[in-house]
Amino acid sequence: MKILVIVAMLLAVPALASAQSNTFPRERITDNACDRVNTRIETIISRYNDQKDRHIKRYEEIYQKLSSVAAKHDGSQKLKADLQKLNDLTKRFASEYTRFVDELRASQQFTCGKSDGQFRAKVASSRAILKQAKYIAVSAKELIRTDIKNDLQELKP
Amino acid sequence: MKLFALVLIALFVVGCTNQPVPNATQSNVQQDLSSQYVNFEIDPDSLDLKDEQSYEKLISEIDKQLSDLPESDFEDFGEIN
Repeated sequence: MKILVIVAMLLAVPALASAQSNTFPRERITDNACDRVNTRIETIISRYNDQKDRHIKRYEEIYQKLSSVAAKHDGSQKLKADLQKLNDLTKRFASEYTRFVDELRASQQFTCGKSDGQFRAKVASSRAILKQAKYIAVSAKELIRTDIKNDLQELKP
Repeated sequence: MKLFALVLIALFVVGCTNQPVPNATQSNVQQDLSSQYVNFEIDPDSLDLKDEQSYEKLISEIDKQLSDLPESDFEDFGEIN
């Protein structure tokens, strides 16, 4: 009987502590705020993921198709060099974007009132990485719009 | 004594039923949007840049691809709180 009581106490104490922490109004408000912030972060990441996939798909498509064009035409060294630049930018963009997502996700460990300062620092850091990723994406687009199109024009007789 | 043990077990059951439910809304935010991509419609193997029409078609195709990448992409996400 004593053993039964001891086992019952061991089971009841942590369960009660957990139940109390989940039902105390202030804690519940904090949990709701945590859920809201975490959901917002996931929504942000999902939106950027769609954009990232679209950009990479476009860069890779242009790289592959124009590489075939370059292979068929004499004097296309400049086009080939610029396509290599595009390929490098695409890889840098993908890498920078992954770093952004990792950093923003890392902020989630501080969303539940654990450390407001660390949460803000992680968000600020992810913001700076996103800015860098955008800069690389704009550079890739500009490379296609100007240099690569000029290279194609130079291949005309 | 038996009653005391039963009460403790009952409290354990109550504690377990108050565990928070995982947030289900986060799992359904991902969508496969690959079907909306504009595919490159020119076959590069059949393209000869010496032909003016082919060249124009290629440039127009590139412009179409670029128009799928608006400046507004990767804009700052604003405040999170």
